Amino acid sequence: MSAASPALAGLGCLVLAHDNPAQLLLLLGWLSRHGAACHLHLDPRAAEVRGAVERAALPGVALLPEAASRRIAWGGFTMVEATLALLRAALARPGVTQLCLLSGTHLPLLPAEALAARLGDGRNHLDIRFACMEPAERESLHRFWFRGVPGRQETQPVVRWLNRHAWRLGPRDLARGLRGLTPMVGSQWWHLTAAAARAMLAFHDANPWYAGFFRHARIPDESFFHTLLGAVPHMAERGTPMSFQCMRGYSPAVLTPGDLAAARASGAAFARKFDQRAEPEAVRLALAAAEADGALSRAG
Amino acid sequence: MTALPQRDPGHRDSWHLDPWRLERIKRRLDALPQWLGADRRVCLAGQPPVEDIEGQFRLAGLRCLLTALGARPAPAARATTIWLGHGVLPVVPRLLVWPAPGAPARAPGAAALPLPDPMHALWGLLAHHPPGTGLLHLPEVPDWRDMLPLLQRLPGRMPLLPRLRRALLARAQRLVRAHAEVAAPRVAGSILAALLGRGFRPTPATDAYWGQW
Repeated sequence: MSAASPALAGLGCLVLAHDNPAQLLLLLGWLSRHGAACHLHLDPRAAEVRGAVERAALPGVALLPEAASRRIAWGGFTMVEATLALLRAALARPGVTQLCLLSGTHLPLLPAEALAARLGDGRNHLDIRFACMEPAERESLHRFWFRGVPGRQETQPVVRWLNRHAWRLGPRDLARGLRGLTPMVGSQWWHLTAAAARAMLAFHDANPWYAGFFRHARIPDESFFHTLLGAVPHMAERGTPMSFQCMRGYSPAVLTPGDLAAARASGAAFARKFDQRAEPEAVRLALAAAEADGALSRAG
Repeated sequence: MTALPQRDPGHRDSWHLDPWRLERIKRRLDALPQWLGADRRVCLAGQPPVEDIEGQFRLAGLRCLLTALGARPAPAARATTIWLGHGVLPVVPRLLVWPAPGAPARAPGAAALPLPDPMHALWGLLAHHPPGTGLLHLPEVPDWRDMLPLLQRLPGRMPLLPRLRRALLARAQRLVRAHAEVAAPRVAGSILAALLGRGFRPTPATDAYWGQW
């Protein structure tokens, strides 16, 4: 493998992170070495991570200024706002042809050349489903969702109670709220072509009501961009999802070495959640496979 | 023309439609503005009677579509009139004919809109829920009074309050969802089944409609 391989030139990676700087730097270092442009959003409370990234001074990694960063609340709209800020920054960079939204706990599953070939087929690689076909209690957009104090949702009994009983208000009028768009849902982590992302951003900017609807949606990062993709003519260009995760209960589990075979078999380009502190061997194996040259990878 | 729906091996006699195909059909309705004119003022005529529940879903779909397009209601003299196929064909300056799918032509001299049924605008907005069991036979004539007791308590041909209309449509959805598949003598019934994620028994009329779109 060439250390200065431009295999991922044209790939803009939007990375959302808030802790575990050592793990984050592994991902950024790999992407940077292979020519991807990285745009990083750090929660303003993650001063330690910000310091570590600034000290590392990786080439091709742009850190969103603290003033433009959002305090992320799980399941809140600030996650969408942070992603939009990264999206604008990535599209402003010349030469970008595709975009990947990653967390700080993602790692690649493929060598750079193979990853570029898989994602560079001109399609959008994301998990996307019709909200109407999902269980109503999980991913429905019919329910109102009230924001709490940012970052305090879990600790505020009143807001928790309000959201648990919001169904008593009756269903939201999706036809009026979304003005004819079909509500879609899917995993937060996606890959889009730059053309699709530009069209989505243009639609978003021209229609302020769109963001207004999702400010009162539950976990909007799992529906905002999916529904937006449905609003532009690029919806038909869909490929397999680019991110693998192993759900245990309601949360993605930390991947172990035993999970890597399933991750590779999924056809995804990246997987999460890796954690060097809990499962260092899984991290080592994933990076070793990603650093192998194409011939070795195919033989393996 | 696209291929006919695929037969679901689990339901020997019913057809289940691919959701992405339903999305593509819905997107064809995006062409409606070219017939509405720049001001998008609309008058609805020939609306279905209360007991025609499929017709009420068509009306709900059309209203949803017009809301999405930012169309505004206006008197027929200053608007594009959309005639939904009931009653007498109005004499107005600008007329669009959009009768129920598969219904006999009752508008000599006026061509029907070359669009799928407006009920498709509801695709993605009606929750599917897990399928129930059994086969639901929809009525052969557009009258659901025997299936929805609430309809029998409503007075004649009075206009429906929006709240009451929503309650009626919600009950009709619950009835369809409680079954695994639908036998729909009319095309509109097969569209309703498809919108709710249920299979439907094919007929020559449904073959022709779904084959066209």
